[in-house]
Amino acid sequence: MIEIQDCDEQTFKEFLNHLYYDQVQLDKGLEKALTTKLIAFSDQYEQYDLRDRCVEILKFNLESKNVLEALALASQIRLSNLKNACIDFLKTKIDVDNVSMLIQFLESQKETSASDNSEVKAKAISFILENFEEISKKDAENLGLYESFLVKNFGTDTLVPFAKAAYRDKKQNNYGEKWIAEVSKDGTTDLRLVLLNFGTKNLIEIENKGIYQDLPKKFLADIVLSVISKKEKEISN
Amino acid sequence: MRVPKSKEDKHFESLFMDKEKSDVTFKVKDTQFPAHKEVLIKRSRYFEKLLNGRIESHFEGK
Repeated sequence: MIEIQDCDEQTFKEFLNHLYYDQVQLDKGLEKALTTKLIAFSDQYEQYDLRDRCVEILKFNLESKNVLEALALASQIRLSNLKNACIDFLKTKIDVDNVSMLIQFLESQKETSASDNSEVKAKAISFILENFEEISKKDAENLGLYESFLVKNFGTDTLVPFAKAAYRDKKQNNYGEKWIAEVSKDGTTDLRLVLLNFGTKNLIEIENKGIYQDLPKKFLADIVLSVISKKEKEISN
Repeated sequence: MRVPKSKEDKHFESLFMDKEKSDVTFKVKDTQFPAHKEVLIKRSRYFEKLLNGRIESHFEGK
């Protein structure tokens, strides 16, 4: 008796079927959910011909609903052709429903693959900025995620909508409070801590660009004071 | 995407899910799948190694 763990009956039957018939049930419309399972399973059991056939099927059937699952799978088992197909797909099909997952995927990638992902990252950032209003309404829970993604991957310019939204929401006491709290690790409901990560040099840049012209001077002064006190702490340490 | 088959393939096809000639059984969750060492050894790199004892396994032999 050979007991197979981590596999369901349907996937295993398809695997076995392939061993005996040397074919994939293409004409019977292999279920889309089954395709990814079969790729993972046949990779694990070194059935690379079956895996590669299923990869071709999956590439052909890529859609918004399954592209991130496919991308995660491609990264996990190092299938560069599937990964490239997913990234090509995503470049043209980012939407409000999949952008947070895309970011999570990009953030989970190692530095070594950063250059491979640079183009899709650029697409993601412009998508977020262009659709910021819609995203902040539909996906308020993930605003902290977008914010840290932007801060990490792109320059100070990307802070503009966040700085504005943060201030506006602070005043109106609506959803913004929630994400500001989320991004401030100290529990302080203030954008200052986020801005601190940029350091003094970037802060001066922001100031010079006039981003804060419509924010009160007190707010800006608070930020500058925080930066200074952080620097002082660093020096005393 | 169908590939033309050899005679050997036809023989394997007739064995699919055949209990009578089965000499090894897979267990997946609560379902048992009859299988044939001849096919596994010929078709699967992994099970060839396993059945010929070239890889360590937590599987129980039959």
